[in-house]
This record gives sequence, structure tokens and C-alpha cells, in this order.
Amino acid sequence: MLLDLKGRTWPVEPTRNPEFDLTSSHLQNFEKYHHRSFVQEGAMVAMPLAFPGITTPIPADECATIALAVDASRMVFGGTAGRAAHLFAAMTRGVTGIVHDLGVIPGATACTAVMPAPDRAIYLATSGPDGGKIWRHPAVGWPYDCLQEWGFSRPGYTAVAHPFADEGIAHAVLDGEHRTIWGVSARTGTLFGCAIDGGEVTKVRKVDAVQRFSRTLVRDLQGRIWGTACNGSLWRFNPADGTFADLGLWIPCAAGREIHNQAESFALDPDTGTIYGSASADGFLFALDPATEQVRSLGKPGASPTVRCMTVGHDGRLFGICGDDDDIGHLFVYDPEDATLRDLGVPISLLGLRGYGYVYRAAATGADGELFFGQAERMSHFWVYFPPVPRRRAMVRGGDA
Amino acid sequence: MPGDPSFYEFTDVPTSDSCWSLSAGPDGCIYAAACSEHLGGVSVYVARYDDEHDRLDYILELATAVNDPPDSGRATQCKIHYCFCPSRHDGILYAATHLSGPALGDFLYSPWADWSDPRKAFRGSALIAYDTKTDEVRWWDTIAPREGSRCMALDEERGRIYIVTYPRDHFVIYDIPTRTRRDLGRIGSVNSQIVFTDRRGRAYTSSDMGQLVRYDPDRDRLEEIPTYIPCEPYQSRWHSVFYDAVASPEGDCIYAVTWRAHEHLFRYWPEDGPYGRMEDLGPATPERDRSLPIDTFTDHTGGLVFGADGMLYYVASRWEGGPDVRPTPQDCTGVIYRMDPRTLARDDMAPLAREKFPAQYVSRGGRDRFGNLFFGHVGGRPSGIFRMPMDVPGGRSDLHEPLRTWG
Repeated sequence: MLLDLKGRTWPVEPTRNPEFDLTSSHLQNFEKYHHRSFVQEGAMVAMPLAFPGITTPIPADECATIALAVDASRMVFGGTAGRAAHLFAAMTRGVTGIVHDLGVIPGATACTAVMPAPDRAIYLATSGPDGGKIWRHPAVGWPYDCLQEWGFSRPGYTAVAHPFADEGIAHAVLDGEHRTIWGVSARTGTLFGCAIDGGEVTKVRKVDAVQRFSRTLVRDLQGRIWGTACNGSLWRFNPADGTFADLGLWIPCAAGREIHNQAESFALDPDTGTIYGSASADGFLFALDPATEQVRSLGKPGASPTVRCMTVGHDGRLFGICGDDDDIGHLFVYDPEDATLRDLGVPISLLGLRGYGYVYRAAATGADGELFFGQAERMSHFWVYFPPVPRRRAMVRGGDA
Repeated sequence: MPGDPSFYEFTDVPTSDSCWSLSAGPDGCIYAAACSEHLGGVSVYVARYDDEHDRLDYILELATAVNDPPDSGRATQCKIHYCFCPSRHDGILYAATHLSGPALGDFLYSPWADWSDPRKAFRGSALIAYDTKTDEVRWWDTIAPREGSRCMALDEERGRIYIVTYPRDHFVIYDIPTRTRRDLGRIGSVNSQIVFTDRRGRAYTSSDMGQLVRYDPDRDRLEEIPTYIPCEPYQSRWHSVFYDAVASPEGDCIYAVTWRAHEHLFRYWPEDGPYGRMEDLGPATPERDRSLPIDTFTDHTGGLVFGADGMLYYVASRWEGGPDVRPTPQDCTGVIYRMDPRTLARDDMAPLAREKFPAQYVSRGGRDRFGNLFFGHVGGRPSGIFRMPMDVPGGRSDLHEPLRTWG
């Protein structure tokens, strides 16, 4: 049947509404509206997972970056997930500006932890069809001038241990003091240790009876390992004496939603020792003081209940990106100085590569205070965020207000 | 010889500002989308050219059909953007909606800003199956929650629909028999404006860097292949994405144009080698001041359609002057060009003209059952379509074949 639209009343164009003051600043500033959605402070730069213009990038569907770590030489290592898992080395210092794909990790579909060691070897935790493994990659040397001439190699990976044949490794951290990697398995939540010399594996215990546990760990300044179990209750493992404690401390969420709650990401303030975390049920941030065992809710950085990557900047501020796989992520910052939490906007890269960034799962802080973020989409890039340099305080002259 | 093109205004939808989608239906009639993307609270309407009475009929208000009324408070189902796909065997015309129109009373809509707001965010692109035999919507489904469908293709043999979403630029497969969707992930930031299929059922679109992205249904893989869309030597490949593409009558070759200023025409032979073969046919629009980042509303080519005479027709903006000129839309004329695929010789057939508005921007072209050509126009209020009568043999009413099955 044909529509009869002839008698229909149509809406009035708001910008032509005679009842509006069409000279108002609200109308004059429309052009800013769109831009305000995107990162408002500092600058984000996305680097391809390649030597730009020289090599093909890590293929789509293999490049979702889920782990990042910075070594003592300022090299940034990333672990990916997808059809295959790669380790890459991102170099942003000297005459580099490249990402070197160190190759596919045999049999792995997710590189869940990247752990640079003091000797510059890189240890990896992986998951794949044949379970969870620990790998070692030799130190990656800095190349010669990447504007002139260069040469790279892929020395490959050495298997250190195969702790789990039937489940992956959710996360792991390196304990340099005991030359041990502490990790948690992905399905059963088995806390384990793996000696990096020899690969001996010790299974400590399951961190929760009903497999409701955090797939992320954090190591505090005293070397203790933290995570959450059922209802988002914090546990702590002390490698020095082998004690495991269920602390009965719950991370924040909306009332009654504890059964859905786990820590989703952690970030350690290396100066104060504060552990920041995000809670999966509703997206609340929290601060944990490991010394006093106090947990403080910091509020929600955005509408999404998901915060999967955070890192503490040199100035003590916490930066992170909220949003899950189906979201448009937002960069946020928490300032412990004045307890403010601000949404900085949707990640966007305008310098060099031009593109939006939507989904992220890893973060790390660089030596100069630049922040690295691992994008986790079908096609992903290595993102660097340069926070703004704060203005100095305006000088107050005598007599001036 | 073809007759002069004439304009058919969407008079009954006075708020319409664009026709982003135009296609022959499975019945050989021309369907066009009367879109209102700049005014809040208005649905897209589907119009059909009535060749018996030489007029446009309005057959569908999408927002009502998909139960997302234009006064819902959310961003509206305001347009169909390169998302008409006719299905031969059952007479269905598939269409998917797109976003950009604000909520009733709102000034603007930003999918980035309002992504997480259930009161304001676009509900999602609605895929509808419109039965052209009975003039009824048979069914509808949400094909892209919170996102719009920028472009769409139908694989009739496999019963699949492919879309590219906006703003996140994801490639999505919709399985018609099971009414299920599968998101294969992100391609880039700049939407390609088309998905097309080859004779083997492989679907193609492009990345931000002009690289072809191919979905192979036999391998169930979406992958970037080492084939690139041509551009000017002074430009980088960034933003060399597909704008419009049409298959040759034989189906062995795709003629296409880019969505960027100083766009190139090219043809792609998808079955020539493992990654196909790209053939650059050169710029489609005149020279101008290359130092000015001119907009794609001025420097534009679209409406690619093969005539029943086997010639390729398309509309490109044309302006006078040389390498120093900086044209605006008002300086431009939309010109229908004809290209002989055998010799690649081009000649201009006819200018498009509208009262008060420039007519340089044509979105899509289509050929009806009698072989006449139609072009969707973007701009002016109300917007509308052009019809160019063609000098074709009388007595035939199947000249819309072979049907283009992508938007």
C-alpha cells in the first residue's frame, strides 16, 4: 500500500526555530561538539605493528595486544592474541620508531604475560590448544639507525615449562628475587610458580573453589602477589614464606552484584606502593593499600563496566581505558592528589597514522612518562600517549587578586 | 540516443536532504531512499519509481516498520546508505538502515559521544526484507547494534548478507536462513563505501590504506590481500577506499571509483591470479589546486551503472579552469559520462541540472526493467533522483538484468 504523506507535519529545524536565540554561543559552537568526543589532553600516536613503510604488519586477527611491559633499556614488549600469538618489540627511542615482530609463538593463541628479566631476556606466559606454557626469548638488541640501514633477526623462543596441558595461563608476573614466575591458570585458577632456571613448576593451590577468580595478578613492592577470588574478595600470596591468605576484603561494586565481581586489571604505583584496580561487575576503580589492607572505591571512570588496562604515570596519576570488545573505549585519568576522575575522550591518533582506537587490553608506562597502550582489535596498533605538560602556576603579584 | 535527464524530487518528504541509496529491485523497478540526515526526528522513506505514471510512490517508512519511531528520543533510522540488495529468487529487496540523524529536537548526533547512552544512542541498523511482490515487510532484524550499516552486499546463493558498520568499521556476516549475525572484527577507521562480491561469492571491501580486504566463504577468512586501489602519485594511499563499484555485464570484472578527492576510476579482475588484478583507468575529475584539501562533495564520482548497451555510465563532478582552480559545489556540474569498456574511451553524455541546487553529487546509479538509467542525488532539500531515458529496444522489460546485488 502506498503511503500518503501529503498531510503530514514535519519537525522544525532547531537551528531555524524562531523561539531560539540563533546568535547564542551554543549554536555558534557546534563545530566543537564532534571534536570533544576525542582525547582532549595531550596526544596519542598509533604505530603500526611493523617497520613503517618497510614491512608488512602483524596480520589482522593475530595482533590484538593483551600484554605490555617495558624493559630496563626502554624497549617495550607486547604479546598478542588471535589466530596466532606474537611477541613484538616496540622501539620509540633513538633512531628507531619501529615495531619488530619477533614471530609467532609456537602453538599459542594468546600471549597473556610479557616479563622482561634483568638480564634482558623476555619471559612469556601463553595459552593455546595444548595448554599453558612459559617461554623465554633472548635479549633483543637495539638496531643501528633505522633511518639509514638496519638488520633484524628472529632468534625464536625456548620452552621453559609446560605447567598446564588442558588449560591456559591467564596471567603471570616475574619475581626476580626468587627467579620465579608466579601465575594463575585460566580455567581452574591454579596458582603456580615456575623457576626460570630449569623450569621446575610448583602448583600452590586453587585460588577459589568455584573458579570465580581474577584473570590478572599484581606484585606489590614487597614481592607479594595479589588477586581476587569469589565475590571479588582479595587474596594475597607471599612467596617468601609460601603463605596464602584470603583477606575477606571485597573490591567495590554496585550493591548486591558481588557475585559478578572480579579484579579486571591492576596497576602498581611504584613510588607509593598503592595498587590500583578495576572491578568487573560495574567498572568501579579502587585503590588498595597493601600495608594497611584498606580498599577505597574511586568511582567509575565511564559508562562501561569494563576497565582492562591501567598504568600509573610518573606524576602519580592513574591512566586507563574503559570499554569492552563491543565498546568505543575512553581514556580516563584519576588524580590521587585531588581525588578527581576525568574522562579524557575516545582515543585517536592524528600524527603519523590516522585512526580511531576503540578496544585496549594492556598498558605500561615509559621511562619519560609516556604511556603505552595495547590495542586489542582485529587490526591493532601500538599506541603511545603523551600526557600534557602542566602549565606552571600563574605568578601572583603583590596587590593582585 | 539517450534523452535528457530529468529530476524527480522527493516532494512528499520535504525534509529529505539526500538519496544515498538507489537500486533496481528484483521486479526491475527503481527503489530510492529519501533520507533526512540533518533534521532530527524523521525516518527514511523508500520511494519507488512508477514507470506507468511517471512519478515517485512512497512505499515504506522504515522507522515504523522496524518499531523504532522517529520520536523515540534516540538517534533516528534516518537513512539507507548503500544498502539496497535485491534478491532474484524470492522477490525480496533487502535494505539496512544507517545513522546520523539526531533525535527529535536535538541539533546533532554523535555516535562516539552517545555510544553508551541507551536514551540517545542509535538503536542499531535494522535489516529489513521487503517483499516487492506483496509490498510488505516480511521480517526485520537488528544487524548492527548501536551502529549503522555503511554498505551491504547479498550472496543470494549462500543466503548471506555482508555489511560494513559505522562508526567502528566492522565486517559483519548475516546468515539469512538462521537470522544470525557474526562480527568478524574491525577493518580500519575510514569506511569503505562498498562491499561487492565476485562470481565465486568472495566479498571485497577496502582498508584505510587502500588495501583490498577479502572474505572467502570457503575458507571463512577475512584477510587483507596484497592488492591496492590506485591513487594519484602525489597522494599517500590513506583514504583510497572504494566508493562505488559495478560488475561488468559478464561478471568477470569490477569497475570502481575511490572515495577521495582526485579520485581514480579503475577496474579490478578478481579472478586473475590469487589476489586479482588491478587496472588503473586514471582520474575521473579535472585538475585543480592540489594544495587545497578539497571536499569529496565537490570532487566526486559515483553512480556507476552499466547500460543495456554494454557501456559504463557514471556521474562525475566537472568544473572549469586548470591546476590553480579551487572549485566549490556551486562551481560544479554533475555530468553523466559514458565509457566504452573495450576502448576505455569516455565521452560526456549529459549534464545534470536542478533548480537552485548544484547537482554534482550522485551516490548510486541503477537501471530499470526498460533499460532507463537512474541516479540518486545528495543535496538540496528536498532531495531526489535523476532519470535518464535510454534509447533501448522496445518490448523488453527484463533489462534490469543482470541485477546488481550490492548497495
